[in-house]
Amino acid sequence: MIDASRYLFLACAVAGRRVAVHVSSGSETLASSDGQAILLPSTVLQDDAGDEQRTWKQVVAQAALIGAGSLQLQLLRRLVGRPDAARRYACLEVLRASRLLAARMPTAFLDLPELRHEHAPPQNAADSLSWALSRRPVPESPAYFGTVRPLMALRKAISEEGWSALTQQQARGEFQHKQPQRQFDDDDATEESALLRLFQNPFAAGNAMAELLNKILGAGTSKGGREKKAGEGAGAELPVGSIERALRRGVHAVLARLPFEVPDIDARGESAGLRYPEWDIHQKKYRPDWAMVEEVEAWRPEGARDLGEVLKPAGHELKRQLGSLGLDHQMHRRQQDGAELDVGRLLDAAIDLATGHSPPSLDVYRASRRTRRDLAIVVGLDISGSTGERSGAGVSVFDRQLQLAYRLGRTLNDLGDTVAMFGFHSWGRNLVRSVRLKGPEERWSACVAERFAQLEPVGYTRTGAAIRHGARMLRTDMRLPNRLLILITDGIAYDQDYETAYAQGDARKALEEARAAGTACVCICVGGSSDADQLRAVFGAANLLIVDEPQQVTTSIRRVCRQALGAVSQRRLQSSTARASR
Amino acid sequence: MVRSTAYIASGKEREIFAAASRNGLPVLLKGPTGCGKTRFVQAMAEALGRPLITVACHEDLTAGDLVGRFLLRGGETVWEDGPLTRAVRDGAICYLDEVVEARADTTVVIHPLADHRRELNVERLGVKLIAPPEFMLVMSYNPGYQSVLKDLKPSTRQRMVSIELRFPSPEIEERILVQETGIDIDNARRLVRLGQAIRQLQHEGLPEAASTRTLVSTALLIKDGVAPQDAAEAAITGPLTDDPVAAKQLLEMMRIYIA
Ligand SMILES: Nc1ncnc2c1ncn2[C@@H]1O[C@H](COP(=O)(O)OP(=O)(O)OP(=O)(O)O)[C@@H](O)[C@H]1O
Ligand SMILES: [Mg+2]
Repeated sequence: MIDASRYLFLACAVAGRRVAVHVSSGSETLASSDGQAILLPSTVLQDDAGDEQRTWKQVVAQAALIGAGSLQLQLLRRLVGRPDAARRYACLEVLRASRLLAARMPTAFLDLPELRHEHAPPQNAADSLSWALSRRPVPESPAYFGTVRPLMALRKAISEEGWSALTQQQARGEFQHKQPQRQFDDDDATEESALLRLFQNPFAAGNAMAELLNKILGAGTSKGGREKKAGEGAGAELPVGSIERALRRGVHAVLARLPFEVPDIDARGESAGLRYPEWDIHQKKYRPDWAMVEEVEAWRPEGARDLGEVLKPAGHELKRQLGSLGLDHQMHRRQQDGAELDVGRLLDAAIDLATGHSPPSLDVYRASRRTRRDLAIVVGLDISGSTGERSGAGVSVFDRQLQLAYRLGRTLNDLGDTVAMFGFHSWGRNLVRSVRLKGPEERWSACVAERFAQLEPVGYTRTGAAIRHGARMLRTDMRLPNRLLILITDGIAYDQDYETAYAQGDARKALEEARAAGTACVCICVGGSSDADQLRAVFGAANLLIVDEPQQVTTSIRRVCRQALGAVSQRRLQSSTARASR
Repeated sequence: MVRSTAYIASGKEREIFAAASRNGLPVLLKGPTGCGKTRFVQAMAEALGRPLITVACHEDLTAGDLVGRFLLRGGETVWEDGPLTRAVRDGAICYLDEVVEARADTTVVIHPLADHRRELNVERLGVKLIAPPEFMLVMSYNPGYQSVLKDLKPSTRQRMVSIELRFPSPEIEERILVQETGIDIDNARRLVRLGQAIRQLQHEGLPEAASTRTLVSTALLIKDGVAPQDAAEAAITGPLTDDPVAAKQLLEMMRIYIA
């Protein structure tokens, strides 16, 4: 049996950024990708050793599509409801990508007969699209090329308002968690009766849905979202009716899947994702390996946002406030006084004296000094859909959170601390995503801001998994004596089967685990929180900071972090004295 | 084995280096480990007909280590020139490899040598040596390393002509492999593709990339009869990571890239 996760590096190398590799548990037969994860058909699981060839070829083809920018939203949009054209597009794009990325693709792939074409491939993705939509013949597409699934990629494109609307309705229990009778997917061709049912479904009723439709498919404000562009070549223009149908179908399929019906994946293997337990407060026991966290790279199908205004550096005061955190004792060489002699310096000084020089200073001691500081900090940023809500002032909670996270990370990094940052959101326990913003080893660079600009508030919040994930990074990746986890969130929120008492109980448990392992935890809410009481109950009032604007944290951040760090070191002290007295 | 000093240029680095040397300007070489910095300096020293004195810098390297010191020898104190002083006296190229690693106090001696004064203050001997025109200061530094406060001081940096070396382009790297090891072009291309691919994995817990150096070593092993996959495992994966998960993933890549 094939373990798809073994192709993780292969996929990342060809794609040029972090992607996940999963095996679908659905019945589709072609591989595809949503830009962050490659989804292989479940048939690869039956491949025996002889056929195993098939798997890596699919991985390379999909990764090449990612690497060559084939999954752009404005292009994929045109392929909704057209599985054949989608496949033609994928074929042309794999051919184009293989030339573009030839320098880093396996020779064994480039030498495959299907890749050895005399004809020039399309110049860019837009060319591929018009070619795919036209009647012009397309080279034979072998199965391993896979396809593109516009809906899968569009799923991520529901913009801020759309998501928070959904989240709120869901919160009020207006949406049932039950599955719609029929799920549409990218492999369906249009089907009238199904469409009828679609409109009888309360799911799709109401204005919010119409707006959402516009949002998702970029139809702007024009009524019905018609796309009228003449002269785009034969077949390029769909009859209006069919566009509308595709659009509706698209929305429905997106909705049907989005809240909780993201592609079911069959993840296995050690690098397929990290599994964390969850505490079931009702049963009073852990559910082992319950939540799966996968690490991905930030990616926004519409391209990067302009965050120039948001990501302005913090003022000097924040640096001053954070500067005194986590001071620690350390042995220093070449001191003017101290408890031990620095033998090397002493010899030098003796030689100086012997040769008639007077050493500039007698810095021949080693001494313990209070210095900055072996402090590792992980900032976990909630990027769930609810944060996309706009407040009165017009700046979304999301942007304020981004600003705060960026400033904190940047300032702590400038102070010399080891800083890692990640965003988190989820769609049920099997799809918790940790979006890398800054790795612990990585130096601060413009890449960090670029990743922020690729973030989008979608999905839900599974706080416990985020805490456990951050605490694990601190414990195993960074390994410094003082550890601080800063969670920036708008509430405990919820995820599929992750609500109220259960969610609180699990988050509290995750915090207990982290603190027991010597990690201080602090939670910051920007723009208030409707869950303030819950947060207080979970984090403890002393570890929680609720502010309106990012700059307001300046006055209290030191107190809160200090207190949290102090509490865990106190605990460490107690446990070590307890050990000593035993 | 004959030690080759041939260097295949990627850009204008030879010309810039030569012009800097004619005008008494120090050179700062930037580039990731194993990209050819040392080789480049060797090749230039040879081309310019100057002796080369290389100092590998480390955290405990002091100004005294560079300039020289009195040693105690049976009650006597004897002066011994450090490599920098020797280079100044001999009109050599002095190459301070990984200069950011050195202690901050070394910059005190480097400054007056690096600017228009071109002088070395040998304090302990009470002399100032004026560097002859042939003397040249070259420093290297790897900007990729996470070194919290060890970045070069701007005042030092501004005195330098900087040459940035990167890993060579695929075509040039293929030529390097062929020239350095005599491997055939098909295998060279396979290795270079693998190298290019691994260089995309900056964030997967690999502290460094697969450098030109590691590709050269792999090619040498292959040329010597080691099976390509074993060679790559020994010369690329081994040096790159100790993490078993990452190693397994790399192995999987190699299977596909150079099978
Ligand atoms: N442009 C080049 N021409 C010829 N050989 C090269 C070139 N670049 C790299 N090499 C090969 O790569 C090997 C490693 O290069 P080198 O030792 O110069 O790297 P470096 O940049 O000095 O690394 P470090 O920072 O670790 O000292 C050389 O021995 C040589 O075989
Ligand atoms: Mg070197």
